[in-house]
Amino acid sequence: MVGVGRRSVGAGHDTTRGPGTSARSVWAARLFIAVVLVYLFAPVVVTVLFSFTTSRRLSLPIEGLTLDWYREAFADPLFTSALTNSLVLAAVTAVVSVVLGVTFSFGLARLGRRARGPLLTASLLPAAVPALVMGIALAVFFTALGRPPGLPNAAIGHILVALPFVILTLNARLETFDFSVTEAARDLGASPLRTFRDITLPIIRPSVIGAALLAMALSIDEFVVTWFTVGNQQTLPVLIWGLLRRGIDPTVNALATVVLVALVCLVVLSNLLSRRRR
Amino acid sequence: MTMETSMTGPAVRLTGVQKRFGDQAVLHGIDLDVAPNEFVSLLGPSGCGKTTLLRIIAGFEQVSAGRVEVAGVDVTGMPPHKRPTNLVFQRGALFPHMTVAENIGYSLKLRGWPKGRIAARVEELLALVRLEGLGGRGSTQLSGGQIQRAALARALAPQPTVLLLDEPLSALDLKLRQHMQLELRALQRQLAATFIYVTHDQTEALVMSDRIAIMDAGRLVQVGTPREIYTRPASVFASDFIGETNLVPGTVMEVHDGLVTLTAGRVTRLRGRADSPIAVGAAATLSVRPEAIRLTRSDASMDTVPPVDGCRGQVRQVVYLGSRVRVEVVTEDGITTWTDLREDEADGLSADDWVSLHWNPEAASIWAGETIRTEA
Repeated sequence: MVGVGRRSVGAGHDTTRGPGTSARSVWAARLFIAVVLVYLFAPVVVTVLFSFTTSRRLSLPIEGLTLDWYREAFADPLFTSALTNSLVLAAVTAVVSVVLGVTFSFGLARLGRRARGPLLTASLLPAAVPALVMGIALAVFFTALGRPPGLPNAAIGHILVALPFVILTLNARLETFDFSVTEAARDLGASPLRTFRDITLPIIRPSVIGAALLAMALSIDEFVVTWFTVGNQQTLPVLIWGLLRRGIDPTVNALATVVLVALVCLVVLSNLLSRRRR
Repeated sequence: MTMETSMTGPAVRLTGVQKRFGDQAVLHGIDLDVAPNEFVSLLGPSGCGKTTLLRIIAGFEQVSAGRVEVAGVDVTGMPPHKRPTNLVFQRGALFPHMTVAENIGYSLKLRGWPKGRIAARVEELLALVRLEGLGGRGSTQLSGGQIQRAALARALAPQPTVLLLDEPLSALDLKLRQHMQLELRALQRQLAATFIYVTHDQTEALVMSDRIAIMDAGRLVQVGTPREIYTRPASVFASDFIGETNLVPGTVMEVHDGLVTLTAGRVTRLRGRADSPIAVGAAATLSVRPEAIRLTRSDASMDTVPPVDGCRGQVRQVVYLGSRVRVEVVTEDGITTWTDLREDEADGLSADDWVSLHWNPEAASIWAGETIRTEA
């Protein structure tokens, strides 16, 4: 009904001009898109740009290019320990959240449709809790348990932050997973464990790796929850925040750029792997 | 290549198998023996429990009560990977990350066969299911028919005592399905293997089976050869489910040596055989196949005496079906019947002609009760 009505109006008299019918509106639309994109990327581009400039002051025009700030940043012993801590946290977060996420998602997939929906929503809900609230909650929680702040607490926080996204990724894969192939393997003589190793894991591997990379990205980037739980230890975001308190320094730009490149790589890879279907 | 079956007892014996999901009973005590080298079809409408029964034999479902034996061994509590049965899944369920050859050889790899021996056996199986040269294909590069052939080869690879097939042809188009039915049957004879085949397609069951087990609402309704089931259906349900039939409700007027005369309506007298006892005056249903009815033209008007066996009526329509002609006749008592004739027999017959319908009483079955179940 609606479609027919629209078509007859369009064919009769040209009162409803759709987007793209006049040259001026096309240019206006393009300009608007360009402005929004500049707004989205300008701060990041400026940061990356200034990490390579020779001048210590952040001002244009750029006088020359250098890698000195990177050398300076990497030479700082604080940086080395922050990087190590960040990588350890990322690895632990990836492994633990993927193991928990895979088992949880398989459990969900075995449940009836009616139970699955609410449980999935419940497991994703923590992602909607503001990081600040989560950070305070964890700090209070660990204090109540009498646990001193440190890397293990931060790891628990990171897993909590990453797990909903891991579950979301894996659940999407398992929605289209044909469980009759696992039955076929059992039927042909494979034990449950062997079936998982030979059949299930190879089939879902791209999604598992994608989820792991996503968890690493979330962990490396995590600041608020980390700050509330890590105590006097350093991670890259915590280090950057500390350096910023001394004023903006080109080494901060260099560090931020390192984190940026790492995260972009992880997220892009994660997306490629999660989307790939057999 | 043949499956040696030296056992003397049944290949599969089900004793009092019951299955409930929650408070819902799906199987109400199934007893069934399947002999070695036999092709048995479990036939029934969707939801009758046939797939659940197959999955119980395979080990994917546990019985709520009863026992499952395969080749004389009680396998009731045994997990699927330890049972000497293999299942061909409805849509093949090939491993998507393996080639056809890897799929077929998987069970042999699990049994620790050396690579060379696996390769030889896989070649043999590829030839058996006529997939020569396709061993290197990915399982996503196969057509529907090829997928089922590969799935069949994969299930046959470990030489199961019993091969279970869960509607493996249902996803194929009619032509291919008919072709594969004959091929499956030939293969089963060639291997002298025991097949249990689940289907809702009565033609498929008739074409392939040594015996058919008809299931309805979690019970076995009748078990017999295709011929027995077609000619002597044990119930109204069986007669209606297998083939096409005319069902006429009536009242028992006379019983003589198993031959029953039924009155239906004002003037209609119908005769048929009842295999189970039936009392005079009881409600009953007669079933007669369209091709068992003979039709003669009658110029007589309404006032002549109706025929003793059968009834008289008026042609409503003549439907051309290619190999035969189907005639719809409405009897004097308003009962609608269908009769199948050869094309020459129906020559010149047209709507509103008066005809008489007769049949050999031995070709019609009568059961007590008047419930007529119609399957959509």
